[in-house]
Order: sequence, then C-alpha cells, then structure tokens
Amino acid sequence: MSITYLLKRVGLFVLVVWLGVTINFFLPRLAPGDPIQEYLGQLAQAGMFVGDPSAGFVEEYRAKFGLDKPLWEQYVNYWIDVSQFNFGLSVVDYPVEVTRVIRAALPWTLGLLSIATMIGFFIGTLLGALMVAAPGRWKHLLNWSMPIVMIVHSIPYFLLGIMLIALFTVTWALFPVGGGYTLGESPEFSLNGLFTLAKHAFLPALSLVAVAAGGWAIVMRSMMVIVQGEDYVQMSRAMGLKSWRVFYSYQVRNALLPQITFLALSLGFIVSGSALVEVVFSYPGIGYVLLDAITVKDLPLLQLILLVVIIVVTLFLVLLDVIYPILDPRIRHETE
Amino acid sequence: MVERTSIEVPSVSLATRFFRLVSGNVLLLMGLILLAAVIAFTVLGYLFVDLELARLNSAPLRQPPSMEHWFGTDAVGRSILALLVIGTPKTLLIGLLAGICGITIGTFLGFFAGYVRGWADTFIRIISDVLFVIPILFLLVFIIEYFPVGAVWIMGVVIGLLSWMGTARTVRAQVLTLRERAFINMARASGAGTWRIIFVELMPNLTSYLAASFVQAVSGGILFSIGLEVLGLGPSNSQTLGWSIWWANDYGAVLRGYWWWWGSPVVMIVIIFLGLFLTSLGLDRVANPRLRASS
Repeated sequence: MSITYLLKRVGLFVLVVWLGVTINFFLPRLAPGDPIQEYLGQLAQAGMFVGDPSAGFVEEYRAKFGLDKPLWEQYVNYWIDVSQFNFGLSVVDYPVEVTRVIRAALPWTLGLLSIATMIGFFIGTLLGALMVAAPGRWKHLLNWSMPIVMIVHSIPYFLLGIMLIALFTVTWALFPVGGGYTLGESPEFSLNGLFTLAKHAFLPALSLVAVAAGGWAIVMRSMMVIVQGEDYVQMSRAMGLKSWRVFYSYQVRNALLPQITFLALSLGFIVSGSALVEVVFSYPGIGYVLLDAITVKDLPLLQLILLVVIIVVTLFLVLLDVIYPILDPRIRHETE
Repeated sequence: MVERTSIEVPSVSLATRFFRLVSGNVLLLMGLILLAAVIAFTVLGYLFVDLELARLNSAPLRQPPSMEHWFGTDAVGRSILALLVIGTPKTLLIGLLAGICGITIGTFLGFFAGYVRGWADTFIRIISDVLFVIPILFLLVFIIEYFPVGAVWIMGVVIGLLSWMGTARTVRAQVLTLRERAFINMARASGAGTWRIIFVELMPNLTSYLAASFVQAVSGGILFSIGLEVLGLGPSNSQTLGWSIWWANDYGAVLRGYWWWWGSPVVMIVIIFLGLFLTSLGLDRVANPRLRASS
C-alpha cells in the first residue's frame, strides 16, 4: 500500500463526509416548514397552551437557534461550531444539549444492533455452510428448512416485529410490549437488571436476527456451492485431509470473503439501520430519536445524529478497504 | 467462451425460450407463479369486488372475516378485501417505478464508469458513496416533503433516484472484466464507437444480471415505501398496503387482537416479497451457471 494510494483514499473519504454533511445541512432547511412552528404545533396538538404564535417569541427562538440568518451564514457557523465540538441545544428538549440526548440513546442502539447483527451473521453463515457441506442426512434435513428460511427472509423485519408483538405479547403474554427497560426505572447492573434488559431486547433482536440470518444463509450457501467445485477443494480431499479441515480451512475460509464485506457494511449501519424496529417496539435508541427529530425538524439534533451516522458508515468503508487485501491476498491495492 | 452464432437465435420461438428458462429452475418458476397470483388477485378484485367498500363507514366496524367480508373490516368501517384490491397495484406501481428508475440510472452510470474509467469512475464512485453513507430514509422524507402532491408515482420515482448504487456497482464490476475480452478488442479494432460497444457488444452479456438487479430494485423500492408509510411518512392519501398497516397500527389493532386488520396487508406484502425474492434468486442462477451445480 503506497503513500499516494493512502492519501488518495483518505482524501476521497473526507470528501464523502463533507458532501454528506452538506446535503444533510441544506435538505431539511430547504424543505417547507419551520422547526419552531412545528414544535409549537405539536405542543398545541397535545393540548398545551402555546400563546399567540405571531408574538415575538417565535422570532426570538429563531434567533436563538441562528435560524434568522441567511443560509450561507448558518452553514459557515455550523462548521465553526462543529470544529469546536459545539453541537448546540435540542429544539424539542430545550435546553438540553443534543450530545446528551444522543449519549442517552446510543448505548441502546449499539447494544441491540451489534448483538443482533453478530448473532444473525453467525447463525446464518453456519447454516448456509452446513447446507452444502454437512454430512449426508444432516444436509438433507437442513436443505428441507430452506423454504422456511426463504419465507422468513422475505418478511420485512419491522413487519416481522409486528407479528412477534401480536404473538408473544398479545396472544401469549411472554414478553413486554415495548420499551428498553421497566417503565420509569433506569437499568441497574445486577443479574435481575440484565434479565430485564434481555427480556425487553429479545423480540426486537429476534425480528432482526431471523430476517438477517436467512440472508446470510442464502448467500453463504451459494458461495459454498461455487467453492465446492474449485480444484483446491477437490485436491485437499484427494490429499486425505480430515473433512473438518477441508470444511473449515478450504471451503468456509474462501466462501466467507463476500460475507465479510457485507458484515462490515451492515456493522456500518449499526447506528441508523434499526429505526423501524425501534419505532415498532418503542425501543429508546437512536433510530427512535432520529425519526422524532425528522418529524419535528429538530435541526441541531438531526444534524448531530446524521454526522455520527455518516462518520460511522464511512469509517467502516475505510476499514473494509484496509482489511480486504489482508483477507484476500489476491486483491492488492493498485499502485498507480 | 463460445461466440454466439447467427443460426440458433431465429429458430427458437419466444415461448420455447421462456419454457427453457423456467424448466429446471424451480425458484424462478415459483417466484413467477406467486407474482402472477398477486396480479390475478388484483385483476379479479377490480372485476368482482365492490370497491365502494373501501370508503369510510361503508361497512360494519371491526368485523372478523366472514362470508360477507372475507378479510374482515377495520375500525372506520372499510372492507379489508377492498383495501387490498386497491392497495396492491399501488404498492406494486411504486416498486416498478423505483425499479425502472434505479436500474436505468444504475446501468447507465455503471457502464459509463466501467468503460470510460478515469475521472468518470471517480466521480460516479463519490456520488454513490455519498448516497450510501446518508440514511436513505432521511433523504426520502425530506425530498417527498418538497413534492406534497401525494401522488404514488412521485414516491416511486424518488425512491428510484436514490437506489441505483448497487446496480451501478455490479454493472461496473462486470464491465471491467468484460472490456478486456477478445470480442471487445475485436469490435474496437473494427472501428465500433463507445456507445455501439456498450449497447451492442456488452449489454447482451449482462441481460440476466440486469434482470436480477431489476427484480431486487423493485423489492427494495417496495420495502422503502412500506417502511416510510408504516412510520406515517409520505403521501398519506394514497391507499397503499403500507398505509393499511399504518392505519391498523394507529388504531392499536395489534394490541387489541384485530389480527385480520393488520394481518391481511402483511400477508399480501410477504407474498409479493417472496415472489420477487424467488424470481431474483432464479435469475441469479441463469446469470451464474456455477450456482446450478449442486441442486
């Protein structure tokens, strides 16, 4: 990997982050509707007294959030603020800093998503690999499960979530309907606390895992079929290597490459990817906060969430670029 | 690599070619049957179901499925069957438009990037990376707010404009491997221009890839639109399947046990997705003969 190549890649990624943040800055500002008015509208809908919106205080609030200035000036100010790690106050939760709103929501999302993504990846990949390489009878049994895997994979995960709620909270009241923890309590670090956490996370995680595992299994199965026919697999068998050795070091090792690519990409979407599941299960994560911020146009909050999302996804793209040649020595970075 | 000769093409009728494509490809066959069933449901529904029952207060409230209302009724007095008949083609239309836009843009940019390379490749890669890192749900919400026309087709087109990146990437990779093949050099040597090479020499080699990507783009488009609608975003007066689910959810149908209300549109959506998914897997097998080896 040469220095110029590295510089070129880093430059490209900086460009992508800048363009992404810029689009995120202008799009909500150009769309119709004003954050302060939207918020007042929401309060009025909830039956609160908001006073006369034509009164000066709307203007005052607009000034407080810098919304009264021309767009380009807001844009310059935004970058100055970002460079000083000053992300401002939330419009809806005024006067709470948006960093605090995000710090409260992030652990929920990261916990749920990272665990669900890894479990889904592991189960699905193993299932797909065994569908091709398991010994005789097991292979048939697994392949009979294929139609079920395909049907489950075809269900959008948030609709599967609705089905799970209907089954496991309404028909059989086994799990809580929603939320991340017992209402009104904050999580404690004890066996009991962990159990409560797991009970709340189980159904959202199940809806993510079931759908994703099917996808991993189907792709892994195809890759295993392709690898199966390669000469080196035949050769390793002919050499008399133990069958688990052929399975692990020759088949799975090579079939895994595209899986790793997709895993890195789906880990990149760990922050933003679960919005719908979080809404369906009222899980207090980033996705939930993001959709709230979108509907009421809480600009400072929206901007910080999107900044985090963009940086995380881009980081995983870079990571993928760096680790891929290590995983697959056939791919070497061109040194143009 | 066997070059195509001019003898085999005209002797095979379209029906025979379709039969050959489908026979032995169970996935493709089942996918197409499911999709045909969905379309048949819509057509028969428009012919035989009283669509007036999709209006508010045109039926008794919250009736479970019965002889009179096969799929039951909702809490505002609409027949779920009539809602499904109206909603299914709308949802399919969003998917089709998203698929057509996505595949057209993706193919064009993919070919351009892969064939021209250099600055074009870099430029297209940057745009696709930018669209990749911004959550697309967020983009959709604000773009759809610009066009509050409420039309279903705008939703489809906007989703399509934002979902060409996967296709572009696949096409680009294919073109990169194809462009060094002998028959392309041959065409170039005999003086064919860039566009001629792209459309006459390269495109036919990618037909099955493009077909599979198209089906995936359609199902991706439907997934985005339903996601938006379930959240209550997007054109709210369109009676698509996603909006049926939103209504059901908004009225607490899940928690109150009105399973037919939310269940019917969910089942319809799952049948559509399963049909599309099996079709795309089937087309994948046509595109990639190595996958046919062991099944």
